[in-house]
Amino acid sequence: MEIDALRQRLKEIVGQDFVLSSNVDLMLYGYDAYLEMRRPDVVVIPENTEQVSQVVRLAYEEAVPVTARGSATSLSGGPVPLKGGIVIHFSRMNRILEIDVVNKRARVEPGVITLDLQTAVAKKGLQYAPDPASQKTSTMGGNVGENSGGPHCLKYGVTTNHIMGLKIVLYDGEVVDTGGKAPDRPGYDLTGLLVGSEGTLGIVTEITVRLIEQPEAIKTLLGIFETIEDASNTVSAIIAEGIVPATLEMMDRLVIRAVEESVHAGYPQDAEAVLIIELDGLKDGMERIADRIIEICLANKVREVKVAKDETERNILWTGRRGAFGAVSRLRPNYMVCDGTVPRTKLPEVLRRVTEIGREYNLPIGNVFHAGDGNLHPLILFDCRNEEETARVREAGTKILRLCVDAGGTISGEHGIGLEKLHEMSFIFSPDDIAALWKLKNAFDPVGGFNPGKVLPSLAS
Amino acid sequence: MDIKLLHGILNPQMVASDTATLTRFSVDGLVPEAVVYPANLSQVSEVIKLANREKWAVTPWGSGTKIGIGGAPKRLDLVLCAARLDKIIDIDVANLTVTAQAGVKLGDLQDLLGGAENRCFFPLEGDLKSQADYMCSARDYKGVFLPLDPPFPDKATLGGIIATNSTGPKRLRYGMPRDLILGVRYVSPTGEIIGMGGKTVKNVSGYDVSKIMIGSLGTLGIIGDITLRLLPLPEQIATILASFKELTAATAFAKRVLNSKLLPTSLEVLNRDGYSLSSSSDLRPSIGGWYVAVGLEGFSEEVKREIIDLKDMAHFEKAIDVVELGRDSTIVFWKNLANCALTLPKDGATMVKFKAGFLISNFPEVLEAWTNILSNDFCALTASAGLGLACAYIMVKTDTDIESAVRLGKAFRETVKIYGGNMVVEFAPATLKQKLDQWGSPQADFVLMRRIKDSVDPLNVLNPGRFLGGI
Amino acid sequence: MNIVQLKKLQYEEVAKCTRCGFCLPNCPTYAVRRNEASTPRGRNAITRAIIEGRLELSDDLAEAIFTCLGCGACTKACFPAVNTKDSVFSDRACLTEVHANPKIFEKLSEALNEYHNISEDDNEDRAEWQEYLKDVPGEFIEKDHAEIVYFVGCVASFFPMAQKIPADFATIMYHAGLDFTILGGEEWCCGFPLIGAGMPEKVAELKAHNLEKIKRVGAKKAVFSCPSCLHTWKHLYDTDIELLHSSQLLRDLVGQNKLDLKPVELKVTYHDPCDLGRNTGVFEEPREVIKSIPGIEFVELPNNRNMSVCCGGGGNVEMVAPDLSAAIAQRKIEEILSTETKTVISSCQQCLRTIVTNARRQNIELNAMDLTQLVLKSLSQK
Repeated sequence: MEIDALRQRLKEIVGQDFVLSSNVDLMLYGYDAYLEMRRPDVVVIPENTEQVSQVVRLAYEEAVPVTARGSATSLSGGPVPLKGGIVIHFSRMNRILEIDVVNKRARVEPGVITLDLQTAVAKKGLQYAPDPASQKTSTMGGNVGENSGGPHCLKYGVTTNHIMGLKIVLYDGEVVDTGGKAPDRPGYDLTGLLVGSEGTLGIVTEITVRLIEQPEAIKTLLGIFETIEDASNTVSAIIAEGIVPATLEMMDRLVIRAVEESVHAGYPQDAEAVLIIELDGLKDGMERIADRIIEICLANKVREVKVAKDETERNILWTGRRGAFGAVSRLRPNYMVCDGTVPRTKLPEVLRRVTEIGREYNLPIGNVFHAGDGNLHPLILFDCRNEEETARVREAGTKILRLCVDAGGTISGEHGIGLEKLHEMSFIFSPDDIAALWKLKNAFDPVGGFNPGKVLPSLAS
Repeated sequence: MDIKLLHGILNPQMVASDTATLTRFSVDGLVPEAVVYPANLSQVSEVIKLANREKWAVTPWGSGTKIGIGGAPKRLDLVLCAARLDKIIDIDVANLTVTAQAGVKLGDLQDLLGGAENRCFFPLEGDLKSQADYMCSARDYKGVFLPLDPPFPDKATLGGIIATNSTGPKRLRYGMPRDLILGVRYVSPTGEIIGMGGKTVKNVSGYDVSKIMIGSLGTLGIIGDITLRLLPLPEQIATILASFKELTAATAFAKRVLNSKLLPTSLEVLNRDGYSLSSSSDLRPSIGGWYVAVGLEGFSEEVKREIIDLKDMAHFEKAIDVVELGRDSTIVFWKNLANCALTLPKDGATMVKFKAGFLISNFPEVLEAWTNILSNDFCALTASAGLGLACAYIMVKTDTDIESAVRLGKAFRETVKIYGGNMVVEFAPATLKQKLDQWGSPQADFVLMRRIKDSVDPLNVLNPGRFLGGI
Repeated sequence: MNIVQLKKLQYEEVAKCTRCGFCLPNCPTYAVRRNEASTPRGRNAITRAIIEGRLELSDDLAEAIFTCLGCGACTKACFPAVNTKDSVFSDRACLTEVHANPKIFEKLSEALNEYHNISEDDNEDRAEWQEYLKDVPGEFIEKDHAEIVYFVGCVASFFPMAQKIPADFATIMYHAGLDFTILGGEEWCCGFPLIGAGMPEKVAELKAHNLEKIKRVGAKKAVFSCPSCLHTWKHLYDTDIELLHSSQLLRDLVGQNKLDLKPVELKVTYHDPCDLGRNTGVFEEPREVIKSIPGIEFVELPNNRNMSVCCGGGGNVEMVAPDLSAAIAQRKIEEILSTETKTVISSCQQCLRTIVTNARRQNIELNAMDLTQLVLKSLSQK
């Protein structure tokens, strides 16, 4: 089918206004927050599952690739339409369909903004626990696609631990439901496999999530350290002590400075590292545990531990953390974030070697990350308009991921493989492993129409 | 079957074909032709590759505690027993992870973990020794645990627990295998050794394959070793038991607990027979028809406060009797409940277990409906109130018992359907399974399950016919 | 403007955009249009693509570039603080240069050239609003010399719906004993609409005229009831005289106890105009004035101060995409109604006009008042 005919058919499905194909629009739907860009052939903005199903069926009949897109905050190229085709933008499927307080479940469309869901359920005394830093703009569909993490995932688990069921459109347009509001449906855990599959297995059009009670009490501490080693030793020590806080987040000097310039979160600019430690749960015993954490900080040469006095102070601390990625672009126009994850005990050593890699490649590296999870986020700063520098950044990034793998870790903790880390997949997977993943891909998507070129390297390579 | 082919890849003591062994490893009356005991994943891989060449049907076996789950096999040539895959590969206390082989028994692992010293991280700088000393000595308790409490905790193997997605009451607080698994190495149905995940608590590299291995009953691969999250042993544990005259009062209490800020580890509503499974004599006898058990774990201040609040709540809902169990009685109480299917059957009777999942909010309705349709003399009902799960245990001995159990099972299943749920038959004699589908009817997403199975196990070597929809 | 100039002016700015998407929920146009072209991120990407030669300047771009409200909310949500508004206005200048701009702006430019106001009326009619004055003698309003010049602005001068505002403000100033004047027919448009229209170079003549007139009056201060006029003067006019918004002047009068404020029993909320609040930094003065009136119950909008959402009247969007402007106004009205107030106070004629017009169109009962009107109401109470 000619492209114009395809666009015409799509207009018949979703309506004239919601099919975009101008030169500008195609440029605009070719990127996310990663570096690579590609152009789709056409963009559709459907309104409901039925329309998505029809679009996918048409794509299947015409052998055109389909890539799903939410707010495109992905850091690994997830929504970039590598092979062109149709991009489905979920911005109009943004309704919260149901908040079931008694069963502690919510049903949402994929375009719902994560924070909007959190705000809506908070009004009913509940919470949706995963809190990716991009929550104010990321979509639930994107969170499901990438299996997003966030600071509170240390205690509560990542997105997949909170997804109960999905409605998905299969490669040929068929619509099925996996999981559901009730537990333990017999059969394979398809929901678990779909979460984090980056839109390569099916297109999610409805999500059922688990909600939990809001904690009775929250206590937020800010530890200020003179060296990054002291801070990372503290992280390992808290975990080893048997305390699992709600969050254990670290920022180094470079990031602290950028954040302070941006939002004035009250982090001391001369500190080498800060830790945000948050406890939540019953109020009973919390004081003692907080005191214990302060003791551990002191044993690790903390300069000062501040305790957030109220909700406002707590919010300010978190605003700084959430904006950290954006804030560093005050220093250089681009950053590459390496999402490598290591066993928590390896943190101090790996961090030191990341610094060495920065020196070796003569690149500024900032660190802001989920320390309690061992999920690093070294931010390598550069300007992508400088090709030589960009090439160096890619090399350094690969080296950091190699380092994480050598330390017993992995190449992505929460940002996904996308097209960014295809090459590095061989660091952790054997050809047999990759072949096993392909078998699953083929079971879901035998024609290879969903988000081609992502997650799985080709078998030959 | 040509046993010699097995001898070609395993040494003789790893292959059994004597009648006694074969009978012991029969599945729903079907007797295999051989049982193998491979000692490592390469050997498992060799066996599975051979099975593919010879088109043998293979059933994996841990310690057999859950072999009753699933349909009768379509074919059975070989049982692959994990008894020798019993090595604990790595306990990393400071990282709070454990890696162990599939044949490791949960009880053994917990014993080891509970006594594990707090091996400290290694600081980069400073006086390594003194710092390590500081970290260890500062703790007034030690040990870690795997927060899983499936039935038969002593005998059940890790592989079996994962393959059957087996959970217990503590799932309320700690989640289920899918929330704890970090990595798995398994042998695919075509014999490749596949590794996914590892020791990191977060990982989104590639598909989350461990999720579909959980509960797949060995139809997608033979689990080799597993990496799981650990938690520090709780400082304090306790249980609150309360008895009520009416179901409505018991469920009202349970709801009150669920809607509070308290964080119980378990919350079980039991009928009189259900309570008897625990062999507990803590509550004054014969005074209530319904019982609620609330498990508590955490810092001592938390548990202390929870006990006070729970007692108040129970009295508010007109509990007849409320008692508090200390550490030792708590352990015994929950262990008895978990082992009931082993200890209870007497006089040649067999236990039948139905397990249902439904909307959390409907647990009072489900329990009430089930109670109303009970016909057998003995029927223990236990419901995990905060999870939307309920189990029924009944005894069968005669054909009449089985007929009645089948009717009951069908009625239970119909009831649960109304509340958005489903019911599986977890334990039952083969004769009952022929009359009552173990899994219930598959739904539209079954098409994907079928395709996955066909894609990874084209010759249908692993556990044919035992899973949902005849997979 | 050509691409070389665009690059010089805006390349470093848009290069700071990491496409993180944090601006998306803050852009009123995205909330309505739901496509990437209606996001600040998308508009930055367009600017960058133009500079890097990946996009040609063509009519294709007009939809994305001429629908930005210039409200600046994106910049506040942006951690590297990319100034999307200025980049977009530079893009507009480039598109104008190659005649890929909406034709309506050519007409606007011609009108300003001929009439020196946006409504194509005889500029001598600028003082028409004086008909609303009740007890203020004309000689107090038009003088040759005065300490303060009141720069009325086109909207308040020519749009009947807004004409009460200058009348009320003049009345307040008169009763407070201030020495002020207006420029009358000698007040020309400040040039603000030309910036949004992509014709910044055409501001020069208007600016020179206005500066000359104000100098002749010998004023030490100029006061504006239109935030956009004020913003234009502050950023494009080089002048030493003090530039004030009416809300700031009113706050000073309240502070000096020069206003005899009497109780008004009313529940009100306040809409921060983009050009007064976010873009000029005046947030507290209007609030202080409102709160100084006895009897007023004041509630904040859910999105206030820096996070205030544009009324839909910014960036000349109304002229090229009236449907978009109306839909944004509708959302603003819903936000106001969510506070359970029936009265919204603002300090911008354009905001009030947009809100009132759309509320009337929908038959929504909503009272929209300028701050000056609220103050006069308080002064006039018995």
